[in-house]
Amino acid sequence: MNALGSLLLVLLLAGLGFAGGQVAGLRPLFGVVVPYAAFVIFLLGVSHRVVLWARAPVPFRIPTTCGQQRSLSWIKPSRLENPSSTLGVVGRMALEVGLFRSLFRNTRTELREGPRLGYGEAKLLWVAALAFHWAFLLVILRHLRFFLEPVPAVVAALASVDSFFEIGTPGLYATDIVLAGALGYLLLRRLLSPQARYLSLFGDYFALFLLLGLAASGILMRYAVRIDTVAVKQLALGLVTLSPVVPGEVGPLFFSHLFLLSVLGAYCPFSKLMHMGGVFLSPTRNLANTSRMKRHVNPWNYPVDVHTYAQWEDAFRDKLKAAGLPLEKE
Amino acid sequence: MAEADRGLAPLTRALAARKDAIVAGWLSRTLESYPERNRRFLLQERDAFRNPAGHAFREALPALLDELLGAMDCARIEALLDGIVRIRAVQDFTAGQAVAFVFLLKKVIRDELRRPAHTAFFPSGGEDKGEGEGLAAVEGRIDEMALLAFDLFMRCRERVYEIKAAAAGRRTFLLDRMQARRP
Amino acid sequence: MAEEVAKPEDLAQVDYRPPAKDWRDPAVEFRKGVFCYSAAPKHLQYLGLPNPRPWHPSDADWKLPADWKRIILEGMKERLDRFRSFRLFMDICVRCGACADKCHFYIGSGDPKNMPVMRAELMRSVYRRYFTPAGRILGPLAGGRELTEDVIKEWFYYFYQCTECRRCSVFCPFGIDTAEVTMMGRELLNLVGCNINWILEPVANCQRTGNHLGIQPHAFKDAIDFLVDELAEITGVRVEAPINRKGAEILYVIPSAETFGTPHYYTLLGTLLLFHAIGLDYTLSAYASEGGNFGLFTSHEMMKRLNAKIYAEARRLGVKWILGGECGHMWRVVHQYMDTMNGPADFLEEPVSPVTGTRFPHARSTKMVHICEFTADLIHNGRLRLDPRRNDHWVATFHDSCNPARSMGLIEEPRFILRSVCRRFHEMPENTIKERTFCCGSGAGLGTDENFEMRMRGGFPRANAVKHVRDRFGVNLVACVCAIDKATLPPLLEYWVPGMHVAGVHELLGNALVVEGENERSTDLRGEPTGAAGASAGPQPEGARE
Repeated sequence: MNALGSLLLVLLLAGLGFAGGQVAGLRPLFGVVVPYAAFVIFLLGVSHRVVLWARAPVPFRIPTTCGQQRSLSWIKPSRLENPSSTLGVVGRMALEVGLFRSLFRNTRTELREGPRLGYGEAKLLWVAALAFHWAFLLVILRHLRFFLEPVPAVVAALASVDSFFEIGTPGLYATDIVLAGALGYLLLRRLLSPQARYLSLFGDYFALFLLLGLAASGILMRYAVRIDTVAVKQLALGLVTLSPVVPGEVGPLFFSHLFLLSVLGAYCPFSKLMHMGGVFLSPTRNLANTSRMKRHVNPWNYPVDVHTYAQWEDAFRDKLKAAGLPLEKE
Repeated sequence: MAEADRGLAPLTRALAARKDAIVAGWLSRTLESYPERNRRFLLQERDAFRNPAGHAFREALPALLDELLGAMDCARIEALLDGIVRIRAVQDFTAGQAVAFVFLLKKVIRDELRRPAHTAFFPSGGEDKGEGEGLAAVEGRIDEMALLAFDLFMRCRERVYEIKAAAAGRRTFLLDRMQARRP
Repeated sequence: MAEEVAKPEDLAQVDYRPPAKDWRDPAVEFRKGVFCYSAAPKHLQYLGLPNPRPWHPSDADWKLPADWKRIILEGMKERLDRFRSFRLFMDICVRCGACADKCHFYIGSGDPKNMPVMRAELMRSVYRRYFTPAGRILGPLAGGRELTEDVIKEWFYYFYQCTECRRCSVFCPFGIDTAEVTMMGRELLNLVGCNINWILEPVANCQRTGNHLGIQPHAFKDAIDFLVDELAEITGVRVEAPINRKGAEILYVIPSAETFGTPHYYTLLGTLLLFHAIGLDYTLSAYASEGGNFGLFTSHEMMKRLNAKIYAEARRLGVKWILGGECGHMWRVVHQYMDTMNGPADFLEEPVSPVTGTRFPHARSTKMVHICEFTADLIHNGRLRLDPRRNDHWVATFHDSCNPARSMGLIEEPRFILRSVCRRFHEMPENTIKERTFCCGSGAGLGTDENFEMRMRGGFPRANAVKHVRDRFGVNLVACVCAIDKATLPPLLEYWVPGMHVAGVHELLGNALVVEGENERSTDLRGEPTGAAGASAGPQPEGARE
């Protein structure tokens, strides 16, 4: 139900963009107003969420330690899994953000019997997640060629490396394949695994379908339905230089693509997609395990009712005396 | 025993040849007693430490079938059943539900025998009672197994109460010891 | 005939569970054996906690305060503003499900709401509904859920079915820590008086007498004196065990279970023998006679109230630094909370071992050292005479307790000690130890008898790994450094791996420790024949001895 509903919603949105691109009178709306609005919502929304997180204090130093602590000089500490220095934390975070270290932990197991089905699935999740995120990043970077003039050498180089295999014309981008494949796997996993299906919400499917729609329209435009890339670049440059030009006949699929992107951007701050920013702030990962070494201050540490020694001695004075235990007051 | 086991040998041979299919059927039917979303995990996760319950079933069921078709060694059967029943005794099962998996084997075996290659045993399609002698013997053995499982279940439940009592003793260990040693 | 034998299969039909309901349906059935009883009102009254009343989780009416909904939502707001962890963990989960099969309760019970992601989602759905714009407007479509009394019951059921072991947080790509969510859930439940007796009675006792069982100071002294006598009987050495002695160099804080329960007691025997052997200038305290802190399982405030006694007592007695005994959640509190809550401990000195001169710079600020760190240093510097043959009747393995492993990183120290005092030591499989260790299934205040079946389920993954090393290497002893483990692993293993024993690391150290002036030792600290003699006879199972 969740899956079907979100698929329909994404199709509807894509259709809306498609239709909007067909009507000359709506093109300013779909080509300029909507992208700007989405961008503003994205910026304001994301910064609002990040500010909310950042404003909430970290009262306690609670890293999850995944290795040996730094204690005695002759015991080798685990510098990355249980960092005790800033450098270690940076390393831990880099592994976490760049390689999904914790998710990878899923895969290391031993003493299995029989075929490695469960093992394979756990590893696939890590591979697919990693593949998707890196491919997505590269695809975004590649898109910079639409927004920058002249196109920086790095971006051009990226595009040529990406189409390294030189399959077909225009050259097939490896990242396109990886992106679509990984998204497809992540979706199938949610649909087929009873556990994942049980815990998936509307938003989980919606995000996946949105990204798939985005990828599909992009891939179609590159390999099947040719569009006027010069006009696209004109539009993109106009948008980033704040001197928007209302585009002409760019090709309707492009408007689907642009509209889905706008929806994704505007949806981001209200959804789990915020995890991209949140991972950097996670107190179980971004703190060094120096809890006993350096004092960590809690800004709202308030006094509490403690049963003091004096109260305790008063309560048990006779018994303390009879047992011969020393007293503060006789 | 000999009387009861009449017609057993040819049947056990036939069943042994189909062991894998029977075990697979038995396993999947047994796991049907768990919620659907867990079943796949129980069935597919092969790591003995991530999925101890599924592992216990996968280890015990084939071995139990071997015993059923072979020596029917009570001590070994008990050990094998124990691995499963001990788990089910602390899950939300009644005694009947907890040991029902043993009976499921009957249906699995019958289904397996009904398949075309074995019409030799059911020339009349199950109408003639005489031809079921071997089958009756196998099913008698399954009943024995189920009774053993039931006993084990009850023993596990008793064990729970004994352990609880012992744990309470452990908590006041020193007090008891002081009383005993310092009259 | 086919009809007749088909009958038993009908039985199996009963087995089928109802078809999968949507998880947002909060209805929970409180079955006997899988939940903890409510706290007696007198404990709430004594501690000044809200809504003291007689009630029971299986009642239809939980007698919540009239404005319970406002209390919960305001409590949530307050905690969202106070804890970045809470706010963040409410926002960033992508429900990838990597944590699903990492929870011992999920593995053991199969209840899908025991998947860590779902446990947190029980809270998250309410958060979305009341604290996010999307949830306020779109409700269920944005994953939101109304806060109803059934949700409170569901929270109670599942937040008291989590041992705050943090295993899921090891595997989460965002480090989302269910323990943190459970702690918030329990704090909120406490605001409307939904708490359990197994936690609040120890808390009240600890507040009043200084320890969980409510042992009063004279009885505490009596127990220690008895222990000294017994130790003299076994070893021929009479040790000093001062209590509340001013001017000692070190305050030694233990989980109080070591003064009344078994096998904890033997750990204390071993430790006191060690202190005697090295001539340590230390004192115990009857006021701070509890290192454990069930406040951790109640609220941050309660944790702080109980923990305050340790520094207060260290200051009063004028010690230089503090040494802490074998206890799991005590070390979570000491390592990650104590200094922040009740510090700065500027009246103490940076810990230095008086025997070896080794500094403990990693405890520079908190000024409290773990007994395993302290002892490992002694052994490393060759200051102890050890005869590991005296432990030859044991084939040991080591169970990492959740808190020292995942909230501290105390991994090699106890292993180093064990290898030095025990000649036969085997690790359990890699994915069940160290940071991936499985919980005993009874931590975080769930170790009560009425919850027995749930504990057996939760501890099953741990027991399963123990069984593996028993079958493979003949292991007959699980060593650990946690008082809750020592209380709950024996029943767990009695059920799953009969004949297995449980001991503290310092019990084994005490067995192996050669002390000046001691008798020829024929028994270990338990009074069992040692070494080769014992190995052939084999020790009795735990239960049989009592």
